[in-house]
Amino acid sequence: MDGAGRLLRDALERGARTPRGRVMLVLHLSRLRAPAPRAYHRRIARAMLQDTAQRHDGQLFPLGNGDLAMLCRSEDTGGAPAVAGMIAEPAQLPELLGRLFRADLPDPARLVSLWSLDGALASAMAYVDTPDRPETEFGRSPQKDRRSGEGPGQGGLGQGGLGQTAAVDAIALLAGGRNLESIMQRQTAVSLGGAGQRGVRPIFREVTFSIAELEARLSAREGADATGQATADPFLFRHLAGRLDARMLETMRTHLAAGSPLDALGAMPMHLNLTVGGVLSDAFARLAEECEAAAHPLGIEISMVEACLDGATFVQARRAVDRAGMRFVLDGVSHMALMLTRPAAMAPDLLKLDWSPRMAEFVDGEREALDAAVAAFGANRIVLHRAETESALHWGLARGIRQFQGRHVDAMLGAGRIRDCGMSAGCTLGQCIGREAAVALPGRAGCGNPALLEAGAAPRPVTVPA
Amino acid sequence: MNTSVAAAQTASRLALLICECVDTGVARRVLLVRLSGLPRVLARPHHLRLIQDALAPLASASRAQTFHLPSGDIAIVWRGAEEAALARTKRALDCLFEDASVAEPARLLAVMHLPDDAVALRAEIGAGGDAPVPISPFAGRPFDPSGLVRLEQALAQADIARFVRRERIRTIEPGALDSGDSETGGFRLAWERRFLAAEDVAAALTPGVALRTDPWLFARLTRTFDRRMLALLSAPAELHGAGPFSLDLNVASLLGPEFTRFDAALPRLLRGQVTIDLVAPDILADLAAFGFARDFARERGYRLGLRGVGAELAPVLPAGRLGFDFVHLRWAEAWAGLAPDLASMSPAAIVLAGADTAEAVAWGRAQGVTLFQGAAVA
Repeated sequence: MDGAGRLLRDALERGARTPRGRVMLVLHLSRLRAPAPRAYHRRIARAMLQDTAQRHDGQLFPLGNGDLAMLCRSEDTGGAPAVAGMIAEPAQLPELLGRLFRADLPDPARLVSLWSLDGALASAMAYVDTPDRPETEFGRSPQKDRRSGEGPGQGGLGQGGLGQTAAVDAIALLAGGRNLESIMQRQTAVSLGGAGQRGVRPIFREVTFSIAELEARLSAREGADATGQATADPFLFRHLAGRLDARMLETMRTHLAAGSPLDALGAMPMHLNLTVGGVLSDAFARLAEECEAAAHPLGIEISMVEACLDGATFVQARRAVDRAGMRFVLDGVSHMALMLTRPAAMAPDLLKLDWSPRMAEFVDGEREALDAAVAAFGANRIVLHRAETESALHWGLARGIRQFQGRHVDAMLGAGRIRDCGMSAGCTLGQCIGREAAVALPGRAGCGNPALLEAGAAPRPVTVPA
Repeated sequence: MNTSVAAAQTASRLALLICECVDTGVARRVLLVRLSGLPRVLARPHHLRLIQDALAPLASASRAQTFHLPSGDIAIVWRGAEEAALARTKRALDCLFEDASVAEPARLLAVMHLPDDAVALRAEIGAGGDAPVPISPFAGRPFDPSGLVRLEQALAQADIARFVRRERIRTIEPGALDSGDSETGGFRLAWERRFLAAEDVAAALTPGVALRTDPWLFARLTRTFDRRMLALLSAPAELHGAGPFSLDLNVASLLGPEFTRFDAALPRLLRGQVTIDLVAPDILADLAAFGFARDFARERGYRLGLRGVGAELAPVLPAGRLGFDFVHLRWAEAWAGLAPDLASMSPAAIVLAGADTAEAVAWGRAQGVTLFQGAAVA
C-alpha cells in the first residue's frame, strides 16, 4: 500500500468511529481507456472534488494507481461559500463525473464508487486494502503526460536542457546538412484483396524525414534524451514540418532533375507530406515541373490540422495540387475528427484515418456513429493509417476499408519477401523491413535481392486476415 | 489563426484611415489619450479600467472607432457632431487625472481634426512625419524560435494590462428587425471580447518582430498569452462590476491550472456570462482533450465559441456537432454577391466578425444573423 493509501486507511478508520453521514467516493481514473488518464484529467477532477471536499468537511487522497479518493460528510456543512450550482453535492458527483468522463469510460458505474461509511464500510475498506492495486507512473507523477503539449519544456531534453522550442529549432537545423537521404525514410501503403483479388498490392510509397533519427542525432549531440521532443507540441511540430518541407522538395527535385536512380521513387506513386506553405512555395512548383517531365505520379498529403489553420490559404494550396495534376490526400484524420467534422468538404482524393485501438473498443452508439462516418465518406477512399496491429486490419476490412499503411503492413510485406526470396537465408524480418524503408542505398546494404525489395511486395500473395 | 481584426485596430489601420481622410477630404475628429504619459503607478489595471469607462460616451458613438496604439495610447476617431459625448468624455477624464494628481493633465489629451492634423497624428502613432507607416502585420523580422523564446521570457516579467483590448459584440435589439433600423440604434451590447493585442505586445517587448510570419509559432505564443490573461483576470476585484465577456483561449489553457484559478475567482454574477472562444487547428490537434475541455467548461457554466472560421472552413467544421454555442464567421466582401454555403450553421449561432461596413451588416441580417462584431456596429 502506498503512502496515500495508508493515510486514507487511517482516515477511514477514524471516520468509522462516527460513520453517520460520512461517505467515501473513489474516482477510478486508473480505469479510463488508454491513452487516458492524462494530466489534465486528474487536475480537473481534483479541482472539482476539492470544491466538494471543502464544503463537506472532507479530504482528498490521490492514490498511487492514479485514482482519487475523497472522504467527506454527505450533508452540507456550510463551509466554503457555494458558487451557485457549481459545487456538486457528494451524491451528485457520480452523475456529473460520469458525464464528464464518458468519452474515456462509457460505463459510469465503473468510474465512480460511492460508499456510505454507515452502511458500506466493509466495501470501502476492501477497496483500500485491495492488494493488487498496482501503482502507475501516472499515479506517482501526475504531472507526466504521454502527450504533453500542456506547457513548455516537458520531457528530458526539453525540460532540463534546451527547452522544447529550442529543441525543435535544433532538430530543424540538423536536417539542413548534406546527405539528407540518410535521414529520409519511406513506407509502402497497400490494398488488401477486394474485387475478386487476393493478396497485397502496393499502391503508393510515402517519403518522409525520419523524426526518430533526427531526435537520435540531437540526443547524441546534446548528451541528453531528445526522444519525443519534435512531436510533443503540435504547434511546434507544424513549425518544424514547414522547415523540413523546403529540404524535402529540393532533395526530391534534385533526384528527378539529375536522372539519378530515384531510390525513393521506384515504380509506384510517391506521396509527400507537405505543409500548405510548402505547396505554395516555388520549390513545389519546380518539383511539379520535374514530376511532369519525368511522368512520375505524385500524391500530396496535407494534415487536417494544417489545412484548418487558414481556410483561404488551404484552398489556394488545394488548387495548386490540382493544377499540378497530383492526388490530394487529407492526412492525420482521427476517428473523432471523422465523426465530428466533415472532411469530405475538403474534397480529398484519399483520406488517411489514423488507427487507434480505442476504435475497436467502442460500445453501442459510438460504434454506429463511427461506422456511419466511414460509410458517409466512402470506405474505398480511406487509407487506415498507423495500422500497427492485425486488429487494425480486421477493423478496417470489416468496414470495407481495403487500403492500409503502418507497421503491420510493413511486417506483412517483409514476411512475403523473405518467404519468396532465394537469398534471405541470413536475413531477419526486421532487417528486411528496415532496408525497404531506407531511401538511400547505404540503408539497404546487405540485401541480395534489391529488385524484390524495390517492388515492396512478393509476387505470391501473403496471407490476408479473414 | 486569424486575428487580423485585432491587428487592424492598431496603428496600421489608423494610418490607413488618415490616408483615406487626406485622399478624400472627408472630415473626422480625433481624441488622443496619451496613456503612455501616465506615471507607472497610475497605469495599473484598475486605473486603465476607469479610463476605459470614461471614454465610453465617445467610444460608443455611432460613427466612432477606437484604436489602441502600440505605445499604449488610445485614439478615438469619429465623424459628425458628437460635441456632447466629447464634452462628457473630456470632463470624466479631467476629473480622473485631477484626482490622480497627474502633473500636466492637459498634456495627456489632444483633440485633432482630420485631414488638417494628419501629419501630427501620424507622428503620434509612431510613423514620424511623412515616413511610411508599416501597415502589414508581416513587416519586420521573421518570427523564429529564438524570437519566440525571447518573447515568452519577456512576457513573464511584463505588465500586460496595458495590452488588454476590448471589442464589442453587438446584437440586434428586439424589434429592430421589423423596423429595419440597421444603421445605429438597432444594436445593443451582447458581450465584450477581451484579448491581448499581439502585435502591440511584440512591438513593445521585442520590437521589429513580425509575429504573423510564422503562424504556428504564433499559435504556440498564444498559450503564454492565455496564461497571462487568465492570471490577470484572476486578480482580486479585476472583474468586479464586469459585464458579459469572451476570452480567446487554447484547449490546453482551458485545462490548465491558471483556468482553474480563474474559474474559482469568477464573480458569481458572471457565471454563465463568459464565453470561451477556441480555434479550429487547436481543437483538431487534440480532439480528445477538446472534448473533455468542452464538457468541463459546460459543467462550469461557460459558453463556447469557434473563432477564425471563414467561408472555406464553415462546411468542414459543423459548429453544432462540435458542441459550440457560437461560431465567429469572418465576413468577406465577395459574399455580397454570392453567399457561401452556410447550410450547416444556425444563423442564431453566428457572430459575423469583421462587420466593418453597412454592406456586411445588411448581408448578415438578410441571413438571419443577429450578432455582429466590427466597426459598423462598434
